[in-house]
Amino acid sequence: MISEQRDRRLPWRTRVALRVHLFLCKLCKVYATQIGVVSRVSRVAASAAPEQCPECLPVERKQEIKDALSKGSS
Amino acid sequence: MTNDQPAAERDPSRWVDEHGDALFRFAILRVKDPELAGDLVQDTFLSALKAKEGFRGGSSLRTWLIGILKHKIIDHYRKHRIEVLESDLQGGAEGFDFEHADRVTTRWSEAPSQLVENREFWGVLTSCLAGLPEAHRRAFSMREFDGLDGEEICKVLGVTPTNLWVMLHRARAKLRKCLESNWFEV
Repeated sequence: MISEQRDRRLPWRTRVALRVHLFLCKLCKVYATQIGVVSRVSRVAASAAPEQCPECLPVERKQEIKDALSKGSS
Repeated sequence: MTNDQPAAERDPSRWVDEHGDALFRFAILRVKDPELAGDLVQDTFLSALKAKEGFRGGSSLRTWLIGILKHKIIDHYRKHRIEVLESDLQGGAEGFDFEHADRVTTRWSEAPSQLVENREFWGVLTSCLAGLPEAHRRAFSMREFDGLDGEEICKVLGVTPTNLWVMLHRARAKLRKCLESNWFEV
């Protein structure tokens, strides 16, 4: 349910029960916090990818694409 | 394309140098295989060349190219569906140490924007993502990277909403465990 609530609106009774449980259960609260971090980090990573991600398009592939683009342009 | 756009944007021969790496990095985060990522980027540039007269400069050229690439990736997922196995739909909060969870380190509180600036963290994150079963990775990628809603993801993957929620739950649980072991609790 901790994961599912990130993807859809749970029925209100379930939402209430989950909130009460997270208030009382420290371990589940920790798990929920960590799952939240996983989500947020992933979203930030996805939008930050171009500058931070170390992979590059291989040089040979770049040349292949450039050749294909110039054939297509002419 | 109009004459109001910078010369670099109007010249396709400069697109690869200006945007090739950015598109590749976008793709590799979503498809894992570098060869496939390269194919998708190549297809994107070729499609963009055919459609360039339709680019009016309302958004940046890179945003436009990323939009084309996003659709290429979704099409790839549709055409090459992964069978969801019974084993993909089982399991709970795997690896969560219920006995010692109150020992959460402060590393979990580090701002996401700072974490992703760290190249070592990038390596750990991409490695953890690569460790997910393919079906889970696609579901997670569409939900968390691209913000697609459940209904759209179900159509692309050919799964029921219930299956999707289980797959996302398992993906998050496995990623949590992997990041904990390789970064946050190291």
